[in-house]
Amino acid sequence: MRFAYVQPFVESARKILAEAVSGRIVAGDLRLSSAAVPSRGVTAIVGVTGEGEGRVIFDMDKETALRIASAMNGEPFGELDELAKDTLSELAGMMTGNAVSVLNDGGHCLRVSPPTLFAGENVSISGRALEALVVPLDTPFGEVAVNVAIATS
Amino acid sequence: MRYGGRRPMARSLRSFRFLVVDDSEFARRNMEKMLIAIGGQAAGFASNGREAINQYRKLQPDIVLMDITMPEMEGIEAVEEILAEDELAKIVMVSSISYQDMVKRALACGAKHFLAKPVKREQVASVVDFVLGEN
Repeated sequence: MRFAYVQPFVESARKILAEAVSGRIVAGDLRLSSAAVPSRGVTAIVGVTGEGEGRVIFDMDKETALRIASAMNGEPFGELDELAKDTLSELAGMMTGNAVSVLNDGGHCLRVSPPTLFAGENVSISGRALEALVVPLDTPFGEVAVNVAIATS
Repeated sequence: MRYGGRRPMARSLRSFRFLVVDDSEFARRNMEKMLIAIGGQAAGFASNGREAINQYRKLQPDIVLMDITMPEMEGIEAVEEILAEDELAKIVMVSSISYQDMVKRALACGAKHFLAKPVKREQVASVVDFVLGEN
């Protein structure tokens, strides 16, 4: 796990979430995680390939997800319908696309896949054993955890 | 088929017709709201490059806002095909992946400008004004 990869993802997520919710985003303490990721309810996963291989996960509870989707669309969502899910996928794509742009302009060579969104209780995300760094972002609508696991090829 | 020779002058920014191409419904709606707010009229929408080419032929919009990463056919390939048919097509690439090489690639294929997501209304207004104003 290279720490150099983590900061741009966290900073991009913080910046883009702040615009999306029109509010202040406070980053919590960084922690290391090597276990499967238990979903809080709504999880967006973006694959990373290139000089580093891994994934970035954005995880939040359903209420936070609905409130963020509502703010981004300017209309309330009571359920995670297709538009709400699409909005959150697009948000994940913007956060990772922005981070990869920063990294690649700094001399790295990474690509990201389109986001995949999971919604449901009792979902656990597991995969290749990767050490992940997790940063909780406190938004006005609830917490969004940014979980970055990228290993150098 | 070529559409060269059309549009001898740029339309007024107040009456431009736009085509938004993005596989995200949220992104299409968001861009539509911003373009309408600056005086545009929706000519149509497409969710991949293949649809964009068909819609362009049918609708003949004044400007196209085109995402890059899409299923079936990506934005850059669609731009090349549209420009092969209409060298006067005015296409702005819109993408969250905006590192320098990607921007260069988009402009090299003939796009007139590049907007990095998340887009802001002022940026959209400025770019649309610039692109429709150039002749």
